[in-house]
Amino acid sequence: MNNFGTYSGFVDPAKVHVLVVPIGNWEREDFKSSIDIMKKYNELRLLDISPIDSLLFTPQGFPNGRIFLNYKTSTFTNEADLFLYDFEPFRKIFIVIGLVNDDSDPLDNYKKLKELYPDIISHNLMYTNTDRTDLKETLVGDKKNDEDIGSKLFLCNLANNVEHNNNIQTVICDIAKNFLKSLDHYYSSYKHVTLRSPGAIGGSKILKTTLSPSLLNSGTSKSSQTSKASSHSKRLSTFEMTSNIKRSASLQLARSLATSDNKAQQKSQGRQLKILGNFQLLSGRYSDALNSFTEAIILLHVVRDYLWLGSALDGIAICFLLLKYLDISFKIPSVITELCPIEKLEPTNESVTNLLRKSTSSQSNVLSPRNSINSSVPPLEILNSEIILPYLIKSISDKALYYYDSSLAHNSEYVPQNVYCELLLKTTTFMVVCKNDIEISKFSMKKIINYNYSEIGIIDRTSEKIVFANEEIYYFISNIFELQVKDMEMYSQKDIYFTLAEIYGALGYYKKKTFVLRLLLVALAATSDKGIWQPSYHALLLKMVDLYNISSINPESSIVDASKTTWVTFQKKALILLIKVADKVHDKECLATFSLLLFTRFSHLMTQNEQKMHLLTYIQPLVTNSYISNYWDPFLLRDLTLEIDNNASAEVEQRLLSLKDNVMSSELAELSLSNGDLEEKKVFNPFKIRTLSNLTSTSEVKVQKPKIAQVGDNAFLKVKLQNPFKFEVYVTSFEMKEETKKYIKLDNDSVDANHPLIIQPESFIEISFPVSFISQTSSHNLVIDSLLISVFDMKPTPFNVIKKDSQLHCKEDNSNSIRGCKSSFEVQILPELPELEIKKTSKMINNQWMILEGSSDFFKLEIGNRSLRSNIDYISLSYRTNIEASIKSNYWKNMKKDDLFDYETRLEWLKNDLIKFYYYPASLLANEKSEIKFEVNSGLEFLEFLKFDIDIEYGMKSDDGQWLYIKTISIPHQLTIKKSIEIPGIDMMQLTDTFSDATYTVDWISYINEQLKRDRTSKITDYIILLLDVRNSWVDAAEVNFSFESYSSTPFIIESGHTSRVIIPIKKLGVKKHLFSNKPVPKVHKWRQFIQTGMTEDEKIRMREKFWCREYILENLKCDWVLQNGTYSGDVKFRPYIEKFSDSFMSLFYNESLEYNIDMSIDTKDINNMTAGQPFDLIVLLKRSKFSQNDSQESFRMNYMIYDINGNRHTLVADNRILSNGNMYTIFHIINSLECKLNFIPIESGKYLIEVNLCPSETSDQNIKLASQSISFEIK
Amino acid sequence: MSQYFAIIGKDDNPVYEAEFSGKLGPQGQIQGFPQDLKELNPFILHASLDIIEDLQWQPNLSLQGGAAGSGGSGGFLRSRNNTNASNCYLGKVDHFYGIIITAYLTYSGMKFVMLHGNSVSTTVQIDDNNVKSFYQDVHELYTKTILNPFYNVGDPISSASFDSRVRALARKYLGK
Repeated sequence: MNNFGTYSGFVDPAKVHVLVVPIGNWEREDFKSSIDIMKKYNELRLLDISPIDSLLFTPQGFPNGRIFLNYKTSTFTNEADLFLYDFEPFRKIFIVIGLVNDDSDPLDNYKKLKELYPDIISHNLMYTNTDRTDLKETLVGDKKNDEDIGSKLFLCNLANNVEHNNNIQTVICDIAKNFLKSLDHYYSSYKHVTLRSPGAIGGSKILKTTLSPSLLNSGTSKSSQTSKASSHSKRLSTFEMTSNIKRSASLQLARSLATSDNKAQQKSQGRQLKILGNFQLLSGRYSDALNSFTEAIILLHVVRDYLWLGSALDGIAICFLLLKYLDISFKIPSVITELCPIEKLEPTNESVTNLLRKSTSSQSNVLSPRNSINSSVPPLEILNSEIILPYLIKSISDKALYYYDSSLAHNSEYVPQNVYCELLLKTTTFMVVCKNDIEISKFSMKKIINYNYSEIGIIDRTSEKIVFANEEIYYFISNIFELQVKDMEMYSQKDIYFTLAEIYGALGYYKKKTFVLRLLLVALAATSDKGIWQPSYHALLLKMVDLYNISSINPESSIVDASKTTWVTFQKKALILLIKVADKVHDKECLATFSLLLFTRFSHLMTQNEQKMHLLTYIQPLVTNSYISNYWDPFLLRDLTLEIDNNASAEVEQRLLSLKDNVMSSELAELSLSNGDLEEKKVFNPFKIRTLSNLTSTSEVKVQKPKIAQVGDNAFLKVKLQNPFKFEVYVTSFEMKEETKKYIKLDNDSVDANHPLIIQPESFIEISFPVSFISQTSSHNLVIDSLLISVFDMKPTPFNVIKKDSQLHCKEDNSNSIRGCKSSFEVQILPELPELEIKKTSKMINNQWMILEGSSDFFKLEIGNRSLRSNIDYISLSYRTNIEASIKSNYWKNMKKDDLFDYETRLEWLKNDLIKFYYYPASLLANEKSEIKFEVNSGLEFLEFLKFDIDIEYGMKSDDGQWLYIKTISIPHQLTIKKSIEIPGIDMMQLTDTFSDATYTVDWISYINEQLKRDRTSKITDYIILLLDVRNSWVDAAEVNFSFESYSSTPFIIESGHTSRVIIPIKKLGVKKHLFSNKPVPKVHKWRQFIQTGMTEDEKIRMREKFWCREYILENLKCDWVLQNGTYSGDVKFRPYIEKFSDSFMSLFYNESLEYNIDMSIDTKDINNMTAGQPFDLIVLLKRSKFSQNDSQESFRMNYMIYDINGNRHTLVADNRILSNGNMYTIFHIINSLECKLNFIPIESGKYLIEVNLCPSETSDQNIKLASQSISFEIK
Repeated sequence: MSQYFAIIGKDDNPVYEAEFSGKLGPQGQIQGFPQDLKELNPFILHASLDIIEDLQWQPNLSLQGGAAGSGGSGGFLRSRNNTNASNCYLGKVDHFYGIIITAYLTYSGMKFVMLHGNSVSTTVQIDDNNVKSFYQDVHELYTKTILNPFYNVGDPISSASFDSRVRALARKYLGK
């Protein structure tokens, strides 16, 4: 950075400019390192320099002094500087050193140097090739030249080691000696010259300082304001004070100078002395310089030569500083203390700062106003130890600036702007160094001399020793913006801005620093002078991006940075400027970096035209020259999927199972599935903080199941690319990554440099490439997370798949601070698997079949292994129907126990008995054929049953035998079930009387009679008959045969479409044998629990009884049928037809469950010969059954009903009510048994049936029957 | 006279930016900033943040209150006035070629900064009282904005009503 600009150091006027030029064959780096070594010897003690015979400049005159060398490698200077050499001779280059690294002739080199640099007074040659010790000897013999070239020729190895250090120092001291000699000679030419001001020499070439009007008018008040604003003290001179001095000085003038001639002489002498002072500063004789400057000031002040006076004041300040550096005590001339009043240090030990800031009395106030420089009173000189040097120097500089200001009124004797600026700048740099250092330590002095400001930190406000506050320095330097800097020459502008930037940097004002550097770049970008550009601009440009906070954040990768709001418009402007500058200096590296930054960060702020222009002007040439090798959008690849094209087995589900852990893994899978279900439900938890980002993040967690492909499969790689820019993006190649290439081959011929894929501006594009799988991945998954993509024909680089931008969660969460959610695509490539081929199912066409309800059918399924290489090692069969697919998982929840049993029994049948596999092969060799034999049963268990699928699981063992690759193929079958034998109606009837012998031929009657004969204890009333309406819905007649327990009907034929009533005798179930009330309804699936049935205990008992009764019937009732043509046979499944038993069925079928038994008998002589008019007694015997748990007395009501049996119909004899004691019923109490006798007189002949019901007395509901019995008789 | 006003967040991010152009000139043109200066405005403003930050953490130097109160033509450095009600207003903090920069600090550290410029490059004179009133009223508007539960502190203010109100305030106090 130091090469970049010249920093204005305060003691610069005491430095001798040395130009080093390379002679011979220098490599740039070698030359630079040689210069760097020389730069270490920039401070020479006069003591080390051998004396010369010049009184003015001999080092012996002031052995403590120093010569400071300022090495330069270029002579670029301002054009106008030429006119300043007489005014400020230190601007001139005095020494030129030719650095020779070859064996060229020293004489020629010397001549060439003199030719090239005639203005430079001291020419020297330095041979770095130290082997040439003979060089000097060759020169000694050469007497042609009158100059002593030998003394200007040096041999010095500029190697960076200690051994040679002394040598280098000696050489440089000798060079300094040559310089002093030349200086003496040079100065002598000045002695008789009338020195003119730069404005007078250069005229319009010298830029006059252009101060803004406010500053000009305010004069010194400017500085006083500054001091007011920043500190309490008023240590600077006020206008009154200076005018006092002026008055006293003019009085002296009146005495000492008589004529105006004298005045001109004084002026000339003053200027001579000033320039002598400058030369003495250069030659290291600081005390002499101090004297020269002091005298010059006295003279110049008198003649009011403000420009030169200011410069002399500046010189004297440098003298003070350097003498202080040398630790030489000096006296401050009284003229200075008068011009720049500064308070003395009190001998007390009070804090220096406090003292300074409190005291307002200045030195001049203490002194008598009559005091003058040549009064009889000896001039009051203060020792340097008695004052605070930084304040003095600042004060002198202020005064110098004041005089410079004053000079502006003059036509030619005005101050050139760069002189003014430099004083301003170097004073500020001095303030910066001394801001905390009241004593000006050696360390600070070194900083001033060596421009080493890097160690200056921001002012520590707590420090007591603040000499210059940040604000004071800032407002002092701000004065530079009252000047029209842009009118100055480029080199001056460069130095000014550079120094300003360094000062701001030192003050901690980094934004100010950036701003000034930006101003500098703008100025540089506007200039056409190529010489001004230096390679060190590279570092500056990079630093600028950093200072503007452009490079310090990284929104491409960090989500936190990306969500920050920054001043984008501002940064973009800065970046565009930097790009322009970088382009101008041909700094391709920076240009590439910045251009990409502009595109990646600020493209949204650029118009289409801007983007296109930027692409054409900067990016594309950089791409062509391969300065940009990577495409700038890291999120180019937005999606990637593999669409596997195996249509042949599209419906085949593929799984991977471990042979060993088969069971385990499936269990685990189930477990994880259930967990997943829970997750899916998203139970609302009010205590869980759910933010928007949480909701979105849950979807991210979704695990993608890897796709499975086989070797040899073809697939399409679907790629989604984005183009956020406003220009077309050309994609020139796609490739798989190296590790992917061995598994998947990408056919990317369609896209190449000649046929690029064009992504339209601000759009996405989706493109598919055919891929083929060439190698198996065995058990692991192949992860495809990136593709090698080449854009604009750049080198293919990997791009990750970024499906979406990640969200910024909470600020504390740094775990997910990476921008963009990388996604990947997993594919597992299996070896070539066998393929089971289903040829056909026998008999069926298109796998459809019609079957008669209740019948069964046999089928054969022809299968084969289509693969020519792989064997099928495993086959397993199962089937599914549409019923279970349509059942909800919680179907059982609201069902009653008995209903559920019924339902599940049917399901069970569907599961176990629908299809029976009789034969299937265990394995199939390659290209082998076989068959599967199975039977389909068709009980009409479900009306909605339509189809079933046969699933064949088959697989192949992996090469290592660890894994089994299983495929499933399912063969759908449609089944239409045709109705055959149906039971549309069902009824039950109580048998009451015995049958006549004529009817014994009827199968069921003879069965009952047989049963009655066999079991004497049973009566006819123990039997009921089940009446079934049997319909033949099929087109052919069917022979049907019913059976119930031991009963078997005689087969009979039902014609197609006909219905017959079938009677089946059933013996009632006795409670004694079949106690159902305590027998629970069984469960098909044991793990189902009923939390609550909502039933009372009685209801439960009724349910159980009804359930078991029905089950009894279903269990025993059988019906076989066979079509008359003998083609089909089957049986009837009664379960769907026989509904739950009603109360009336129950009372008929299971009446012994009642608590009371009623026995009825007719007391008459001949029960078979009852005639009308002949009375009879009906004896009703009511007994408590032994199952009754109740033995207390209860009230009952007994109802009597008389039916008229007319054929098969029972008609209630409604108008012939039986009244007992005026009531239709009798209420009585019963303890154990009761007998009541009713006397009847039959009036009409006919068949009658008397029924007696026992009801609870409290209710009039006749349906609640505790018991009932009936008896029938005939009246003739 | 034209102004460039910005509210700068704690990370030097602009929360709000506006340029107030002065009245129509004699030729009917708007007397705004010259085009080249318009480009430069954000940079000048950004650079002056350094000075504002410096003043922000400076102990209150009560002695200089008097010096600072002497109107727009006073010294550059204005420490905060000692009266509490107005110590948010920093006054004139910086200048650049005739452009004056005034600033105002809210209690939460938001910086209200304004460049006062002229179409001709002469140093502008500013009326401290008007400028201070402008800042105070904008501060009130800003406070109302941050009361909005949908607004996150530090985000750019995109409310059109905020913008129009600020512009109205600018016309009221600065449009002279």
